[in-house]
Amino acid sequence: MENGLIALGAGLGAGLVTIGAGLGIGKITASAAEATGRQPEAAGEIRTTALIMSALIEGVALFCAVTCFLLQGALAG
Amino acid sequence: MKRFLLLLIIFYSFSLAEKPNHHANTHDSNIANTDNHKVETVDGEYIMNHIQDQSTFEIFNPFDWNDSNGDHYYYTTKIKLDKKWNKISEIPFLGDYLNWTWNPSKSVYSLQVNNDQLVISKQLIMMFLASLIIILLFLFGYRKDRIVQSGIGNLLEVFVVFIRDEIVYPNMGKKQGKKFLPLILTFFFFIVILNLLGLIPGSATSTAFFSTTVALALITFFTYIFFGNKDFWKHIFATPGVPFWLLPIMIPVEVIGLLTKPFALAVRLLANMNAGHIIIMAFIGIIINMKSPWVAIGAVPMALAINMLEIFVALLQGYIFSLLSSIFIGMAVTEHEHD
Repeated sequence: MENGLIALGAGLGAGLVTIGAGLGIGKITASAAEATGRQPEAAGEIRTTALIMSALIEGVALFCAVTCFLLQGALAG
Repeated sequence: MKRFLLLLIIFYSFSLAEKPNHHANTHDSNIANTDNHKVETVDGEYIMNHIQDQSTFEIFNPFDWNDSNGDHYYYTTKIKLDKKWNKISEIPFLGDYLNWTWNPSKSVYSLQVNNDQLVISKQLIMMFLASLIIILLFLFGYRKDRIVQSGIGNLLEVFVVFIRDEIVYPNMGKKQGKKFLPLILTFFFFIVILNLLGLIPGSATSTAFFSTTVALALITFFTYIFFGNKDFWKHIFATPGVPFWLLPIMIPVEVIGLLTKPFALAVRLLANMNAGHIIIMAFIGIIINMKSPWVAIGAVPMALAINMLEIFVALLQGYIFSLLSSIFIGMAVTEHEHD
């Protein structure tokens, strides 16, 4: 019973993290594409900024993913 | 191209094919080796074991069509690394200088004496191979006496110029950028070649292990710790424009931010490289789980598509790692004016 709950929590946590990170990166990408369309000559800078921001979001998501992964250690057996 | 695809499909179909109705064989090995027993189902545990550091190379061998070497893997020859020659102390000449062993009686730590210490593991071999490839590429591919390169030199020039003009110089400036360009270039080529080597079936991805990625991230960490100028440290311990009563909150936050950068770098690379391998394993595992070869018609093209995506991810992760490293180092070393 407890094992099942821990596994469920880890799985649900990973899924929620994915939703958040996906929304965040999606918004960044949408804005970057829009900005590139408005100002194609700034495409290089926009791409770099978008990548850095995505990386920051990814960093937070990875922390949460690692937390979910560490829950494996709490599983008995 | 068509022939290449066909080869990949054939290899994937056969490399995991198992001989049915056979008991688990008992090859003795000192290092835990879980991939030796017969596979009934490919579950999470099997996949996690597969992506860990192993002591066995599984090399494609077309003459093993009837499982003549008796390892229960068709078309596969296994090369074990846990032999005597594999220990660093056994290497002729070089071993005399590296013949260091742990002496527990002289240490406060009570570590167990492990006879398998300093064994050259799979990931270490891949790293040696990658280093060798990089050295050979730049020694013989790039002609210094020519202004216009051709062939491999042309390819290398595209990457080097891209990293110099798009990654390093915009983030560090020309003066500091020249100093750190070799480091970033080494990061890029080492990671990309390791990632691409890991896509070859039978080999291992070194960048999918914590020991490699943490080491790479720590190089970035210590670079910006050592080369960080006065401005950088002032921004951490006495951020300008912040009221002094906020400093007890700001300083821990800034210090944590300093430490999480290499952590995120290491985990990002590791997670991205592992994810693709797990997905490919899962797709191929469907064939074994369903116990029918006809599943391969659906599963192998999907695994192939993921493999194509992985080639892109391999280059992207090298780019991201070198970009973030140059940004972190650039934040620490560049002079910037305050308004």
